[in-house]
Amino acid sequence: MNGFRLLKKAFYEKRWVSRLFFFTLLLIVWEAVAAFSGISPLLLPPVEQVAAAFWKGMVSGTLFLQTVFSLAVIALGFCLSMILALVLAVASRLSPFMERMADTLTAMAHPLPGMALLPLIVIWFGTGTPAVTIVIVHACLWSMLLSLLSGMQSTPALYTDLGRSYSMGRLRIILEILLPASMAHLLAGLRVGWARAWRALISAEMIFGAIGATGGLGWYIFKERTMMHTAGLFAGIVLVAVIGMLVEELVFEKLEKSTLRKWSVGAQKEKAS
Amino acid sequence: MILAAEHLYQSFDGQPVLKDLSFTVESGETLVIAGRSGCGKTTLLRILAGFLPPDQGRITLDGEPSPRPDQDKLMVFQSFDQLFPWFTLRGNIQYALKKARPALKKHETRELAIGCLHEMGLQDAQEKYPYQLSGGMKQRGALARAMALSPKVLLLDEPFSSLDVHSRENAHQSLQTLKEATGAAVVLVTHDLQDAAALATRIAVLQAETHGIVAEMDNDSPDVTLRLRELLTD
Repeated sequence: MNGFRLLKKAFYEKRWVSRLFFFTLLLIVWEAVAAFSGISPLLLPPVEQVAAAFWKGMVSGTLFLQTVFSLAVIALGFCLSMILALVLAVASRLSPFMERMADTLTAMAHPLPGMALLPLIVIWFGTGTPAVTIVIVHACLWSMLLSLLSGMQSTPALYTDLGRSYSMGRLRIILEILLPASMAHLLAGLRVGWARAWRALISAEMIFGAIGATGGLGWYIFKERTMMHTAGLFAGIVLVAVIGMLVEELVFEKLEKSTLRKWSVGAQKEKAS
Repeated sequence: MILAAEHLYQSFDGQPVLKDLSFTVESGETLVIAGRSGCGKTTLLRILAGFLPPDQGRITLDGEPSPRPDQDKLMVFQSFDQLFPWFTLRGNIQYALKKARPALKKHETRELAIGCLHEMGLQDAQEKYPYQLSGGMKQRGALARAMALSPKVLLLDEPFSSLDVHSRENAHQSLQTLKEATGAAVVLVTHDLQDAAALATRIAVLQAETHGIVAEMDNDSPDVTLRLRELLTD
C-alpha cells in the first residue's frame, strides 16, 4: 500500500514518471492490437520487431548517422533563427522604421506555410542542406520574433526608467533589462519554434530526399516506407517523438528551471501545491 | 538649493495638468507634495526624474539644468514589482551600483550592497529573490537600491501607500535612517496624510482644479494635519 502511495506521488510530482507510465501503456496497447487484431505486420508490426529494427539501425550506423545529421541541421537552423530573431527584435526596439519593417515581415511571413515556399527554395537553393536550413528558419523565426517582441512590449516601463536612471544606453537597456524581463515570452517562443522546426525538418527531408550519403531522419522514414520496412518506419517515427521529448525535458525544462521558476513561477507552483 | 522646478507647464491632449509650478528642495529636506488622486502628482515626479519632458519650464539640480534621468535624482515607484525579478535583493543593488559606477570592483559593490541592506534591516533577505519578499520588504529593498547610489535627490511616488501599518512604520524608519546617512533631499508625493505628517519637513498641496500648488507649510505646527485634511477634502 505504501509502495502504491509512493508511486502515485511520483506519478503526479515527477513528469518523467507519468511520461514513462503512458509510454509503457502505449507499448502494451500497441502490442495487444498487433497480436490480437489480425492486422498485417506490414501495416502494424509488433513492438519487438520495431525494437529490433531500431537496434539494427543503430548498430549498423544507418539510423544513428541519419539522426546525427538531422540534429546537426536543426541545430544550425534553430541557432540561425534565434540570432535573426534577436537582431530583428533589438533593431525594432532601436528604430521605429525597423519596428514597422519587422511588423510587416512577420505579418506576411508568419502565416505563409513553408510548403508554399518549397518550389521557390528548390529553384533558388536546390535540395541540399542550405535549402533545408531555410525551411527550418522560416518555420521557427517568426514565432520566435513575435514572442520576443511581445515580451519586450509587455515589460513594465519602470524597468526601462530604472535603466535610464542608471545612465544606461538604449542597447544596454534592451540587452540587459528587456531581454531577461521577456524570458517567459522568449521561452514560449523557443518551445513553439523548436516544435515547428522539428516538424519542418522531417517534412523537408522527406521531400528533398537524400543529400549525398545522408538525408536525415525524415529521409530514413520515407525510405523505409518505400521498401515496406514498416518496423524501421515506426522506429524512425518513435525516435522523432523521443528526441522531441528529450529536447523539451533536457533543454527547455532545464532553462525554465534555471530562470523563470527560480525567479517566480516556481514559487507560485509551490504555493499552489 | 539642490533641486528646483521652474515654471513647469504640462498638459495631455490639450488638458492642462500642471500650470506654472515652481518650488525648490534643499539638501536633507523632505518635501511632501500632497494631493488627491489625479491631480498630477505622478506626472510632476516623472518630470522631476527626467522621464517626461515638460511642455514648458525646466528642472535644475545644483543650479544646472537637469532635463534627463540621472543617478543623482532617483525615483522609487509605487509598484511592488520594481526590483528586477532575475536578481536577488543584493544582486539588484549590486547591479545598480555596477551600472551607475562602472569603476567599482565586484567585491566593492557587494560590500556596499550588504552595508545598505544592513541599514535597512534586510541583511537576512539579501539572497532572496523579489518574489520571496513581502510588499514592505520589496519597497524597502527598492529604497535601499536607490540610496546605495547616494543620489542628491530621492523622488518617491507613494511607495508606502499599499503597506500595512507595521510595514509602513518600518519603511518610514528606513527612509529616515537612509536620508540621515546620505543627506539626500527627498520629494515624496502622496495622498496619504499619515505619510505626509510622519515624513515631511515641508508640505505643498497640489490641486487638480488650479493645476498648481495652493498651499505650502512647514510640518512643525500641531494643526498641520487638520489644515491638510481641509485642503484635500474641499
